[in-house]
Amino acid sequence: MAFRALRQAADTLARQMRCASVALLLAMGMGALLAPFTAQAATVLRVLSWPGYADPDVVAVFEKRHRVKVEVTTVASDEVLRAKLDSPDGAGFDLVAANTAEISRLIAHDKLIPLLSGNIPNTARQLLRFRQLQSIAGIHRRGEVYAMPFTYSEMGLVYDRQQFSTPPRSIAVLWDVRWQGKVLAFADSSHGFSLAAMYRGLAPFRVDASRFSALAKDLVALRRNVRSFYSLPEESVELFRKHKVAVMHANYGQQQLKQLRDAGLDVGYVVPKEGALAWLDCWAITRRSTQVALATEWINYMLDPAVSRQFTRRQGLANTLEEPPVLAGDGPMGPIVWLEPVEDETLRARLWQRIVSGDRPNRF
Amino acid sequence: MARMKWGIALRLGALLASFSVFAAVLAGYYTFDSSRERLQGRAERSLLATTQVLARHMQAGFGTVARDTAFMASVAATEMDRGRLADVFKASLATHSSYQQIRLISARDHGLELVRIDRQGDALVRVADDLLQEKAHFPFVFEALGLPAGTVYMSEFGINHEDAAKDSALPVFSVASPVVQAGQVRGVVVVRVAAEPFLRNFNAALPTPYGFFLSNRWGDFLVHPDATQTFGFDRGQRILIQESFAQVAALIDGRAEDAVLSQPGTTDEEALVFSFVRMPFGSQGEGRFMVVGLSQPLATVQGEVLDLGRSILKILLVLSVVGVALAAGVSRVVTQPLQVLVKAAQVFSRGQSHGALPVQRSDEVGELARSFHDMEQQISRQLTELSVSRDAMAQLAHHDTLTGLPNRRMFEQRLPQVLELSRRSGRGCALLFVDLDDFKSINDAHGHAVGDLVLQAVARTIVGAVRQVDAVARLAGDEFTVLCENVDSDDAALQIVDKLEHAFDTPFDIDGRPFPVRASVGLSLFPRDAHDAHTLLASADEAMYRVKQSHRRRLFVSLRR
Repeated sequence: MAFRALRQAADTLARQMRCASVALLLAMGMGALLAPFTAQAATVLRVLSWPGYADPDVVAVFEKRHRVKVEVTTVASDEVLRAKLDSPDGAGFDLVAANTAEISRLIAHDKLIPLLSGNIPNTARQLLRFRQLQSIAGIHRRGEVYAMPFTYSEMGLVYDRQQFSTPPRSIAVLWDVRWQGKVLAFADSSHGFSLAAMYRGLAPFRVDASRFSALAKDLVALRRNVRSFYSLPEESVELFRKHKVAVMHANYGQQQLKQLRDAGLDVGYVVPKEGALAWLDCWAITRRSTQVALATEWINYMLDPAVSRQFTRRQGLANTLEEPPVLAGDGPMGPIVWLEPVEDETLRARLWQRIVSGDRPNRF
Repeated sequence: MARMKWGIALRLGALLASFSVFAAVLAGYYTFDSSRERLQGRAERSLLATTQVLARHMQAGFGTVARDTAFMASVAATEMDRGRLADVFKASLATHSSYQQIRLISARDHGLELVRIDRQGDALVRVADDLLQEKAHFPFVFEALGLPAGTVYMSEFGINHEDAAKDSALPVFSVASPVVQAGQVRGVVVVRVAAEPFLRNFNAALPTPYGFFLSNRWGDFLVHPDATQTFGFDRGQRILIQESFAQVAALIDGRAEDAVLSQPGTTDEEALVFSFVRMPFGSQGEGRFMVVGLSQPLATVQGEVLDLGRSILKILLVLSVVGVALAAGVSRVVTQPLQVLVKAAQVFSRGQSHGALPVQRSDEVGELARSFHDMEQQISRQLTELSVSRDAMAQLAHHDTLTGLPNRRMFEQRLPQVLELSRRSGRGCALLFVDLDDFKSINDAHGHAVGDLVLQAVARTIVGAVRQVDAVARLAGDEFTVLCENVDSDDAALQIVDKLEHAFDTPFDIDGRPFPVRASVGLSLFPRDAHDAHTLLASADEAMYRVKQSHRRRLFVSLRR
């Protein structure tokens, strides 16, 4: 009897083990079948931003924390940013880091969705002037906020302390023939005309059509005074050093200042009396996004003190949580002018192409 | 025995064969393994070498453009007539399809173009004077203006934005050379080269599986099999080679001159081997460079490895077959003399003679054969001794030691055989029973020694009295028998008896003294008196007894007389 019971027990166990192994094999097979699909179906957060905003290590932490994949596309100019957001191809982007002017344009084109700052607890840590969102032009409409300030940079002047005994006070220094061939300017149609308008004491973003010819001639004059127009910060560093540049319109602001100083150049930084155009880059969630909650998490993550401080440390760009120390000493002289959409982007671009190509003044 | 013999041969053969196959497989595997690495290494080196050759070709190509540009700059320095200079430019554009534009740019007037020939489709067009532009802010102008005569400045590769037309926004690079007149730099000649047709001169010769890569010194892709990866910086994107291939960072940083790496295949892409080379670019002092790269599917590299594997496998098969054959041969060579010995042992055990053993061999087999031979001799010797002693034993068992005659046992064995023969042949036989008279008294009177001498003399007498063929035996004491074959009649039998009785008439000579001995002879005939051995003997005994009685009576009568 005991022997039979033992045998029955053994048989049952064997049967169970067979069932279990079949189940295991089935599960493995299913897993193997499903693996590619699950991999493909993994959540991907698509981020459109500027170089250095989302470094791989910073992204990796977020990816690990939320078990998602983040695809970061970087742009180096507003034109490209615009083109990428306007392109209907591909999956589009969930998030975009753009300056206030671009945000305003995107709101106008209904490309963004309003943010609920209650879902972004880290906003409580921001400096007061960035918490008063209604006072920042371009990021709100009808009482709703569409973007969260992340970083900003005024386009001040970088100057060589060896060549300037006192910091330049006005943007007119860029046109000063004394520095001919020792000036660098940024290759951007929008900013180019805004700069010329400020030089002439005009509203930078609302240039009257009748003024364009004159401003174009001013920009030709600027062209004749510069050593070159640059696009990338690395390029500006090389040109600055190689051609003993005296003064540069720093489109990348303090970021560029940091790079130049890292390269061993003795440079100063100043906001001229006409004021400095400043971009305020904000994070916004696009209307195309299908994962708003995750995108909101991303914005909150970007405003995390550790992330924001690391960003400032690495890029030399100010964050919205702490006042930047860089301007101390030289100090800003003029006002900071947050960028706004310009009156006629196409016209500016068309003219700018001819200016940069080298058309002579009589053709404007 | 046969299975045993096969066993050793088979086992030895299998052992040797497996040894040789194992050795062949081992050697084959190591050859394959090391060759694979060497082959892959060689393929990588050859890819690197190809890349280096390509880079040198490209440098030579840049050099050609540089020489053209420098030549045109020297022409521009001497040719005052702009029309003729324009013709020179046009001639150069006509002969170099990759040249897109050639111009003379002034060192003054903010780099105003003085002569500019554009390729517009198939036509070479000289741009009208009022459309000429100022180019002093372009690196190819301000960098070249600072150069000595005869040298050139190579611009970085970029997308052309100098022309308003959208379709002219193509990858280009410009080569500029200063125009020096009397030690004064008057301007620069700039040749704008369309990158694609220029590079096609070099990479068009590459077979299809090769992928071609080119990056600038910051790592931005300029050429990539996937065109969307190129000139990212022009679209505000940085698509960097060092981010795709981490090892190339060392080239960008100047820590290495070349890099070879392989990327495992994915479901969409096959595995590739890459080789990258840092190609100096621009003039020597500048330290500028580009990264030139080639990719090759790993499959083409591994294809050779597989071919190698297949040929090694073939060699391995041949080696194994040879090994098995050798093993069979060796096992035969070793086991054949053993088999000879085994056969010899078998034959010997049957007591037959066998062929020669391999005793002359000096090896272990020879030793074994010699030992076997010695053993065989010893056994033969012992067998002979044994048979001699057995014969003696048989003699002892069947003969009487005193007289040397067959004893009762032998007689009793022999008698039935003789009777059987007689029965078959139909010829009768006679049995004589001889008993000495008063032998006891001889023994008592003269002693046993004399008795024995008497018995010996009796035996000799009986043997001498009967026929040669008749069998004499001593049954016991003074009892003797004579078995006579082929005795067909009573007369013949009585003749024998008579002859025998007469033999006792003469006294025996015992130790030189006459010694009278009497014997009683009983006769019985087969098959007349008996039909079997026992009855025949009993009958003869009985007859003898009657004779003895008559002898006593005769003696009694003579005593009474």
